[in-house]
Amino acid sequence: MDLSRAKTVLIIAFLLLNLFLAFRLWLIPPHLQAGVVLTGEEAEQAKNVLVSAGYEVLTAIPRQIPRLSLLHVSRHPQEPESWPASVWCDANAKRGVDTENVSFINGEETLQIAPNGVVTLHFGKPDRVSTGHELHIFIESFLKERGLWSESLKFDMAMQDGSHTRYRYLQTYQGFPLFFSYTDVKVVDGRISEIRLYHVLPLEFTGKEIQTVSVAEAADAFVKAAQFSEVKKIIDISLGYYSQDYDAKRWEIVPVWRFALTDGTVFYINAFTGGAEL
Amino acid sequence: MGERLKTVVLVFLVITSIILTGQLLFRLPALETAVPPAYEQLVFGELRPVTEHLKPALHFNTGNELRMLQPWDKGYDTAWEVLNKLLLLNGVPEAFQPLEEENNQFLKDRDAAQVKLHFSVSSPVSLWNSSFRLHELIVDSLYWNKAEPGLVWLRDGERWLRSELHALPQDFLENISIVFSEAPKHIVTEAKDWEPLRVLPGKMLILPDAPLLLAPRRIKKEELNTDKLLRSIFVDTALVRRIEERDGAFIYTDGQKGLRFYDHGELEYTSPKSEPGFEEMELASVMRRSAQYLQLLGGWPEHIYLDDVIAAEKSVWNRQQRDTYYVTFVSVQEGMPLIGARAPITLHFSDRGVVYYNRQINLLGEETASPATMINPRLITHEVMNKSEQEGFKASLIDIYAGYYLKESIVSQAVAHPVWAMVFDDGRTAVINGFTGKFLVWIE
Repeated sequence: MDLSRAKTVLIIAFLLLNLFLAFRLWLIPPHLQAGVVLTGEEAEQAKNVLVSAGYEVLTAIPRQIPRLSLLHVSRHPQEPESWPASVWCDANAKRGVDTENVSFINGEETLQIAPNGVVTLHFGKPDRVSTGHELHIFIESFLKERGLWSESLKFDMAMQDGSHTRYRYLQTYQGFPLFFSYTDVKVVDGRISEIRLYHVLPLEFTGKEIQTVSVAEAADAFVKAAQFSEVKKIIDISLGYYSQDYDAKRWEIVPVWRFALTDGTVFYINAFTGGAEL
Repeated sequence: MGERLKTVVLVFLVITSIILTGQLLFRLPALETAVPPAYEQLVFGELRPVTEHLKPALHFNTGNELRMLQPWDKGYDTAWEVLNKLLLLNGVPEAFQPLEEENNQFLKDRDAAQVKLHFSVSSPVSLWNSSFRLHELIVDSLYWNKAEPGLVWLRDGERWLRSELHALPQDFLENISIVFSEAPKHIVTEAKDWEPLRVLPGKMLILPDAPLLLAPRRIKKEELNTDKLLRSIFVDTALVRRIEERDGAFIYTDGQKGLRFYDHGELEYTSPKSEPGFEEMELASVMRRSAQYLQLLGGWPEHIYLDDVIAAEKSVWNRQQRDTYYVTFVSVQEGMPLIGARAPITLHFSDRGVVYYNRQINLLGEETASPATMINPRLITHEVMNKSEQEGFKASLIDIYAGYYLKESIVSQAVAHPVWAMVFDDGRTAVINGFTGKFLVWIE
């Protein structure tokens, strides 16, 4: 090979390499710039903290300890009056009589939009039946059909409550679940009887990144916070964002470690301070 | 020429890739490169000693006239300097129970006492007297008469106590006359003066001797250094999130503590993890902590006085509030209390810290009209009686005083009007326009 061709190949190769490095440095979202990770031994220690407190851990211990920022969110901008069009494709649905909420009626279905932004769709006659492993696909396609699906929704957990099961889908942002932003589908005997959702609009991360606490530290706080819990089976430990319910226009939400128990009880440990969210 | 250019480009690309790789591998994250946060202890004003906020009302009765000094009155400190010698008890007080047939005379003698000190919150004598034997003595009133100069009568809740005094200075009585010479004169009214309202038996209702001359005044909200307050509460503000509520309020929280600034100037702080408390506290400790918390949470302005201290009720089923204390304050400006449905400062805390804090201080501004004479409160009893009957209340009058009324929510440039407040023994207070005598509102 002559020197000129070799130079050309090298120039192309280094150009590609530089593009990749630049992309990695400047364009990849900050949360992916994981700082450190727990070693296998540390993860085992974290698990031991939970086990020695009497918990059975039915999920993997996350090892990432990323640097994160607060996340700005705002209320979902959709006006109450526009919901009938997106759910029923009927902008002229009949207005319901409800002093607290904005409500609409379409046949056997009632749509309620509460002042705090929670939207509930009731089915007078529970909708079509589905069973077994197909249920998730069925719910997803049903939500799509009703204009209530978004690609940012991810299945979270199923909570059994008496005769019905509530399937929870969480809104995600850049891969992080927003634990307070959900779509709940209530299923009775394989039929969808209610859909309830509360979504926010993620805006941007705040500028300052802070090292989060590891799940090992969060486990200590969880054990203290959950000392009166009778259920001792942990089905999920994950990192995401959380906020209490505020009557706000715009607010900041914080990264948390969420510990979920089999009965649907959840505990949020602030991933910045390591303290339980009260 | 072309080959040279290729060489230059190649060298440039190689160097760039080395720099980028280095950055990716060794770039220090922002936190580590940042200057470590300088945590400073932020406080608002000086720490007030306990003895400064547990000050009694001072009464001096010559037989012909009654003069009174409240902690906010001019000349109070000089008078208190003289009278606090009555707390230098000699020995442990003994309980005294007058015989039933002598009881009325006994109470009359006490009412006729030349000097009376009355604490709005029962206070430990040990604050002024270091004797360990008086450690548990808490009094609400103290009586002294020149006929028994070596004795002092104390009221300990429901009991009467009698104690000897350390020798008083020879010019004690003369000094009292001097320090009270400029004090406002008052009169003791009789129950029949307030008919058709009922007066709680044994309760003396005292009014200023001279008609009060007051003018409506503008009110403005207190301006706090919110940034300093934030840094005082949250050690690292980088961990604090901000929530902008739709009613204009702002909330700051780190998940465990929350600070809310309302649009109308009120602020509220909550920290649920501070309850229940671990230990019971004595009044002196409660007051010391109140002063410390106020110093951290916005300060203790001169016009704010202690109003009440209540230990949370202990119940078996409510463990949460155990060993926690509510302390409320009153604002007195231009010599008049500001009367409203809510206290300017409410503090709820335990030995583990503040559970709840509310602050909504209003400041009296300039007069909006010329001062005018306030109506004689004895002329408004029918108005209050009618209102009570309409609403089915049957309580007895226990106190009456003048002040400035603050509505529940103020807007900027609002005006506070002079009012009479009639306090009843069921906890309600009737607020009456001080000029027209018109009933305004009940305050619970």
